[in-house]
Amino acid sequence: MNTLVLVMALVGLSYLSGLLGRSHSVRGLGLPSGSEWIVLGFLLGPDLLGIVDRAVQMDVEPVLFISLGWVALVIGIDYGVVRTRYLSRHRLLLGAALGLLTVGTVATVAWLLIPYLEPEHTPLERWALALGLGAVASETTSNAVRWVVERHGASGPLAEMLDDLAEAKDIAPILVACVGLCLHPRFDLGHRTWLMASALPIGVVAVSVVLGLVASVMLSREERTEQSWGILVGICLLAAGTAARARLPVVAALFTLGLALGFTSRHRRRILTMIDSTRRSALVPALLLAGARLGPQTIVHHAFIVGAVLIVRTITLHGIALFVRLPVLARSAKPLIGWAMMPAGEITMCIGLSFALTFRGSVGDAVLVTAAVVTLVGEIIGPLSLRAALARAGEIPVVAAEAA
Amino acid sequence: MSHGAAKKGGPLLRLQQLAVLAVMFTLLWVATRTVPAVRGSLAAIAATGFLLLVGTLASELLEPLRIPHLTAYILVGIIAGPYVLDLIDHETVIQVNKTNPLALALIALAGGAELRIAELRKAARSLAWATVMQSVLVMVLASVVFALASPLLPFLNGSPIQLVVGLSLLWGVIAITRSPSATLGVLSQTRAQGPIARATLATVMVSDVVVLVILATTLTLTKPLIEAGATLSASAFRDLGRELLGSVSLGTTLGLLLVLYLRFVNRSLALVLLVLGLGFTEVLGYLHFEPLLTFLVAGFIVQNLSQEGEKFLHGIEGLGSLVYVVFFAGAGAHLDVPVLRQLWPVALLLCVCRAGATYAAHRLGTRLADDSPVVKKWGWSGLVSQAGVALGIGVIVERNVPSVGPKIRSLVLATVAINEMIGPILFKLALDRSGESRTIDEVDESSDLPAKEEAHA
Repeated sequence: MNTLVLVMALVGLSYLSGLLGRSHSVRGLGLPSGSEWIVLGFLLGPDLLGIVDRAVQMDVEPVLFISLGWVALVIGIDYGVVRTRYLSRHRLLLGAALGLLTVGTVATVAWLLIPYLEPEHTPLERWALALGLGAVASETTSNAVRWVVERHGASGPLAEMLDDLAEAKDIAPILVACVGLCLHPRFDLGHRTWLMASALPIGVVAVSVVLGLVASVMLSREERTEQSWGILVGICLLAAGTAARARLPVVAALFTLGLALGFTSRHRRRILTMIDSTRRSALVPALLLAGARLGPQTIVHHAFIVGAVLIVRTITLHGIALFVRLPVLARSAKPLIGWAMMPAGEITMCIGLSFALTFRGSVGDAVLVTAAVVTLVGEIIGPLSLRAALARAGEIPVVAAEAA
Repeated sequence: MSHGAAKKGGPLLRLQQLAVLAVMFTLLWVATRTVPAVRGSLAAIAATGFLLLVGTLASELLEPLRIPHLTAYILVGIIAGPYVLDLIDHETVIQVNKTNPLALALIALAGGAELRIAELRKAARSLAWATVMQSVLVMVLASVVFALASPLLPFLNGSPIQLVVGLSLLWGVIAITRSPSATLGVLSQTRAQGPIARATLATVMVSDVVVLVILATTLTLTKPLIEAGATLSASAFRDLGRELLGSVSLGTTLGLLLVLYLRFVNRSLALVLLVLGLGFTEVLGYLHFEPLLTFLVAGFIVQNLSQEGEKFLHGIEGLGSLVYVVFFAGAGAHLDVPVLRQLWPVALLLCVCRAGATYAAHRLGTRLADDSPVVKKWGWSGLVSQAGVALGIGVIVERNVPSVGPKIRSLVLATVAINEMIGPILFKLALDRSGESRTIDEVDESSDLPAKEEAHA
């Protein structure tokens, strides 16, 4: 396939996804995680139908960086906001802590298993892979929670709590992925891995915060919509392009930028209203191209590590569910909460794709395959379990009435 | 192109803007110095974002000096470009300029949509005289000046007289090219409305089509003069006819499709324009049709055969406000500063003579058409700018005259550089002085007018 044709097809796809589905809404078509696009990409990829071949994939990589950057920027600006409600500090800290716990557990187990399951990796790659696997295993996508909540008209303390925790968890995988992506051999400083793992991510975060503040200053006195778009697009391209050319983590940079912008701007709501609907449109091309990078051989090659990550993730989420204090009326739903926290989506796939773009070869492939499998499995199990949990807690009116 | 302005601010705001500019320049400087060798497309992403942000900021910073925004964008491009700070290298500039077809498509669509039949009918006589005078008289005068100035050009020393005559005629064609992008850029910023704005836009858009015909004719006629052993051939006219008619018919179809889209879907127009600008332009190139004419006709159809014109223009303005910044800043970065430094005396002479010829042709044309005094006085100012079309013809001349073509192209680059900088300033000055420029409040007021009248009724 010609590069221009693919780019135009991706633009068309964005257009269609914008028409058919709307982010955070059930009124549109499509699954909450966007898994259908991963599957479509897999089918169109070089190993199956061969429509999107590897050479073209290389050509459109800049488009991918922009897509990933834009999605991360929107997530960053949106962080801590559920619809029109700001999360409490307690919920934010709890969610972030749970996220870090999941990442930490999965990454530790993966680090221990890598020498047995994937012995070809160097010590530096082992660290990067472990952190990448941890990062892609920890998301609970708030899209899925909102999808179930909106579709079934659920409301109540459990729905709210799960929505809040899913939102607050987002920060953990992105920051851990930032560290993992900085462990690229390009930055190898000999034995001083700790320096790479600390100085580079701190540098990325610091520069992104400065850019976020710059955007905030520029937007603070700008009331014209077109100019506001110009500033947002410009800052996204500048940050994504600079990070990509330095092989630094684009997703983390843009997320931090968005976070700084969101927390410092007086116009946060206006900005969110402007850009929130673009989230899905930017994500769909990335999901399709991520799917196209997966091949049956790659999946088989990394099957053991993927299986291990899935098991550890499931156990960790169930462990967390046991210790989380649920609202009194929702305690009967406790056995289902672990499963209900399984859905993953945009952040998982963005991180998986970032690893695939940064680490060419086995590390990137393993993280991307894991991300895709985690997303697909989460899509199958998560929304159903969530619906069942909310029904059991009596927060879905129709189902509760039927049960009665 | 930004229109209107952000909230007004004092010295503190200017300092803030300078600080933000410093941060941007430092960031890109550090990025380019620490990671110098990367694939062009990745560097182009950062460069595009940089030009967009810094161009917007610089235009606001220079606003008190009443400099047109697009001049500020061009200046930013020159400073960041390969010849000054080298934050954006040659390869990256080429990559950034790959978005030019999108900008040109938007310019042509907006240009076509700005032409309203009712107004054209009223100004038909003026437009006809202006086109004839600006095409014929300016071409003749510019050709004569080039021939007289040829002894000043070292690369033409000792050249046969027929070559000098042929090149002079081609220079005349280059001289009659205008810049629709600069015209629309200044109009978009100033939101000007009035006889000068209308007359300039119509003349510039029509001259873009006329120049294609004149170029084909001149190339055919001058071929025996500039190429040894070449003979006159009419095949160029056949190709031109096919190209023009094909473009008009395709533009009409596209315009009708756009009308249907605006009428029945009317969503995500920016994405549709993106596909048209980047994808459809490629298709047009493949089919050997003229993109500018095709889009111009499409815009004209939308404006005049439907009631979607204003909506369409608004949609183009939205996307254009981002794309034009990159387009002009990219043009600035592309400017060959060393060539300008080397050839500026001759280039300046040719520019002054062209501007003089434009003025003379304008005075004569407006007298014959009996135009209003304000058009007589200021109407020539928007015809000085030159940009892409002139450079395109420069490339054609280079291809057709291999012996001295590259030097002529450098001279074209130098003159376009001067006209690109001076032209928009002149045009904005004219719009400001004639009172056609409008503030954002005036624009809001005029757009509220129908609603107010309705409420009053």
